Amino acid sequence: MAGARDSSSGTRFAQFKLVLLGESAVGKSSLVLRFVKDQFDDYRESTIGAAFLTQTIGLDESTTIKFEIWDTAGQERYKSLAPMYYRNANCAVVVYDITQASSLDKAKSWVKELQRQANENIIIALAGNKLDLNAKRQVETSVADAYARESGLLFFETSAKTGENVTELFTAIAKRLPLETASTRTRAAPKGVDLSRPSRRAPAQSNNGCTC
Amino acid sequence: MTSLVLSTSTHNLTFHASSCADSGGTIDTPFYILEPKTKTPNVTPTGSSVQPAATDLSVHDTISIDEDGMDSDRMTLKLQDYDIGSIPKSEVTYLAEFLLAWRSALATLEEQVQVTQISSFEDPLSSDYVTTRLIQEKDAFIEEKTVQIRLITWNLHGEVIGEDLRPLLFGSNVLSDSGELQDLGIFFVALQEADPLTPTTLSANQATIARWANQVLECLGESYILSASSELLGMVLLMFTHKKLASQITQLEISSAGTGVLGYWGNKGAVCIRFTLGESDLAGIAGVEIAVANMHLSSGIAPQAVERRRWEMSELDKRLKLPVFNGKLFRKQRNGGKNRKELLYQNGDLLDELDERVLDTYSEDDMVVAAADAVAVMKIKENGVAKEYEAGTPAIPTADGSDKAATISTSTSTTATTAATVNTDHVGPEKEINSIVFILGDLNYRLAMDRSDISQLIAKNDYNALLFWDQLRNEIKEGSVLVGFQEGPISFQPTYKYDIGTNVFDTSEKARVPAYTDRILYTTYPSLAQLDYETFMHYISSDHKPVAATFELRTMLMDADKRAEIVKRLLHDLDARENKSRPKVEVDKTDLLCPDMTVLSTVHQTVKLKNCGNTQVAWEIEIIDGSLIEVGTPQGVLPPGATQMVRVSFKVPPNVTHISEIFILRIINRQDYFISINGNVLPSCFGASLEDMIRKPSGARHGFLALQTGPQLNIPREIWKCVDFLSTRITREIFRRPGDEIVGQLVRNWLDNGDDFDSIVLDSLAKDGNKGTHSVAEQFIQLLELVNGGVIPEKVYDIITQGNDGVQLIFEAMPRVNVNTLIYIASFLREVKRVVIDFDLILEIFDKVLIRIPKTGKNKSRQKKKRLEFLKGFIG
Repeated sequence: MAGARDSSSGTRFAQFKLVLLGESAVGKSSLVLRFVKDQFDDYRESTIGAAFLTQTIGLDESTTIKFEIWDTAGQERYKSLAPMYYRNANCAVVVYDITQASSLDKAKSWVKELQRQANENIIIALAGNKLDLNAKRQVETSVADAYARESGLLFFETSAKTGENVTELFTAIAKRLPLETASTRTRAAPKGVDLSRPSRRAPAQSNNGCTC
Repeated sequence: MTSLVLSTSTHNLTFHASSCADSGGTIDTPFYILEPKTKTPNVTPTGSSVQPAATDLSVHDTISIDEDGMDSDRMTLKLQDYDIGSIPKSEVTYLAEFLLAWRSALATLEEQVQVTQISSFEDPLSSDYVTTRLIQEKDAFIEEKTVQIRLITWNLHGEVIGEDLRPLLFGSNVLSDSGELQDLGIFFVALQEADPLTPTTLSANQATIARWANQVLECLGESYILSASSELLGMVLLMFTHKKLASQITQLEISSAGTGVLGYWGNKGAVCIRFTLGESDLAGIAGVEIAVANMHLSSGIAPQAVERRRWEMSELDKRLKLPVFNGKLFRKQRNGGKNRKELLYQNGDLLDELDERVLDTYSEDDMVVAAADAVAVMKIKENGVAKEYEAGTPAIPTADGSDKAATISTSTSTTATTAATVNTDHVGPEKEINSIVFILGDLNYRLAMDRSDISQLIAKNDYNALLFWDQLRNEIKEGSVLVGFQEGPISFQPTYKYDIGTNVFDTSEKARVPAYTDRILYTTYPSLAQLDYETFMHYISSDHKPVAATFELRTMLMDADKRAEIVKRLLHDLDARENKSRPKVEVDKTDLLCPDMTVLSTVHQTVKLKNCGNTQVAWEIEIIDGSLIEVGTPQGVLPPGATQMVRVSFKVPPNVTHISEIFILRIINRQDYFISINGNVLPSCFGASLEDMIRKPSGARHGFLALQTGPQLNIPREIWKCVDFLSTRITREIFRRPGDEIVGQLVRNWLDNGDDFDSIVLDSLAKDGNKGTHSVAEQFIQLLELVNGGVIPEKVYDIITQGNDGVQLIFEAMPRVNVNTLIYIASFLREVKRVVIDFDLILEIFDKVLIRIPKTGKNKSRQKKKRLEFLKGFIG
């Protein structure tokens, strides 16, 4: 097709729905805030509901991925609403707090629920957040890592506060996503660009017709 | 009331998008009404009920015209099934203009509609923001760079090459310490007779091609990839590209044509690769078109052979399906030579080059017959290839289907483009200067002189003297072939024909005259310079020496890394803008507290939603399955600055002590608010058992009396109150008219508080359709219906439906209070029966609310008959 003939033509673009799950106050919203705005709030209000944000990352030279992020409320009383958010999600980040052993148990129950109820090809990442509070750590890396491994999850220890491993987490998810089955397409012609040469769009097959 | 007016200035056509806010503050889907002005025909919009909503329209929809019948002087315009207006028949001449305007205005409208929404599925890289900014910042990532192009041609005589290819590939190129090439490079390796030829060979040997590709890649190192391969029997053209350049190569295409036996077989002909280097629409850079053809033409020193090569050039000029070659290879003869047919049937030099081992097993006639068969297939294939090419797939000669072949071919197909895009509309002056054509290969032109003279000149290294007799140079000079092509100075001895394994010219019987058969030519380009043109005498595996040339091209190229950095930043900006432009709202509360709810009442709750952003906010309410919550207006649109009360309601069910519900208030594209509703429900006689009612003689809200101490009631006071009130107010309509909701609520409250009915209030409603009485009657029925366990419990059901005189049995089987209640209600119904006309209807109501039916009931109609008989008998 005629169209954008930039050197990066043939690029792929895909959009994926990502949902964050995990116990209240483990830092789900903070992870999103760090990833999307590269910011951190020390005092963040508890999420009442589910916030929607988008973030685009260039996976490699030819692939752009846009995450449609749903940051859900972690409070127990909203648990029954979670299926509405993970039901069509392509990927999920299940977050726990490395300084709260109980939050990993909660994370495990989310993983179990996702593996049972969510889209069968969902990519699940386990994120042990608050790495900046390493001194108060209650969950050993090796324990979470072993669990993630046996459950087939991506695993990162992150700090929304310092930004450590946050981009890495989302990039790792992006790399695992099934690009070929997603809504990929080649780029349409950019609008409003004056091409400094004659259009090649007109089909003029007669000029190279077969003479034999 | 909001309205949106879009107009197309040239056509004076206006669209009004008007919408009305209803009392609740929600806004309906706007209607778009067509309103043409003076210059366009007088279209009368039809009633608003048939106006299409903007969301239903698309510019691609069909607009049709209906004649309104012979009598009418107007005709109706229809868009899909929507009636969009009518036009006088007399103004039909304006119709086309009108429709055009209509469509273009509609397109504008669509764009407008899209702008207000966040079209979340748009590829951000093609967004106006990113493209515009990229153009602005192009100097940061597009700069002039030097690209080295190394071309190698070698006729292998079907031999397997054992020599190290490095000297041939690198030439005098300076290698870095690590042995890597320092410049960005593109390598073309052109082989002829890559495999021994037999008359039945139909396609190139993919194993040979793969072997060569791997061998070259091994030499070039990891920073190079195979970008394309074009093959035809023994002719192979491989293109290798530095990884950093790979993304700058676009519109890669390949083509081939055979001109050998019968004019078609692929033992002679050409294979080509073309592509564009450094093209960027975004930056307005066209790039350089580079085309390379590896040719193997017919052999021979005789004038007929020169003529045949000329014919082959003319055929290739026509048949190579890449426009860049057309008109360049061959110039029409003023006094044309032999006709095409004659040349077509010349067998050329087939026998000359067939493998000698093969020759032993075939007679010469066999050979020609076999070759003719092969050609037939070849012709079909060439046509087939042409079609494939036109359909948009790369013109790769069909491979033998081996896995290796597939891999190689795929590398070309990923970036190949369709014929439509490549067509350069016949090289205009601008295009001419934007392309570079390289011709290399075994062109097979000879030195038209005696072998002894040649030997003398070679001994003297007088190559210029030799080249004076070079048929190719003379053909070019005469203007027959390759007019305008350049060739670097030749400072090496003829590259053909050597005894294999030596540097000795042909000592066989045929004693062929040495010649410069292997050549590299090019068209000039301003920033293209040839650095070397050389042969390598130490390659002795073939009867030809390889020939190589290096060119340096300075051109504008993109730095992919720098560009990626900028794109990353722009995408980040774009996300920030998108996230910033999301709706901003305030919700006054997310926890709705509802203390002391009463059973069966309807609770209304509101959430105040304020749009504090500057874009329109669309909201909707999502109710979770199984929720009690009902919502009148489930969605709405809120203009900037506006406030809206979002209303939900629910009916408190019986037998609950607490309500805990959640619904979702969704701000589209922004946030879901989880709104919780929590509160206690006051105790009630509605849903209580008869025993419980008796134990709470002062009303459900006042707690139990201890069984022993309290006075034992015969029947629940609540039931007594209702019957007592109703028995003096029996009319023909009793139980046949609905009550009033508010009065009903009052009645329930009196019952649950243990208060007496305020008969003054109730009777004051007598004029108003007797609402007081009907409300009490309605609550009475509801009270009975909700009695926990029922007035006539499930366990006596069988007795009712089986025996004829089961009354005594039933009384024995039921608790005392149930018996008392039943007797009391029966005596009341006896009074009712005296007044109402159709008592059976009343009986059916009481059948339903008094008798609890087991779930596993059979023969329902018979059972119902039995039940009614029982009630009838009981009431008397």
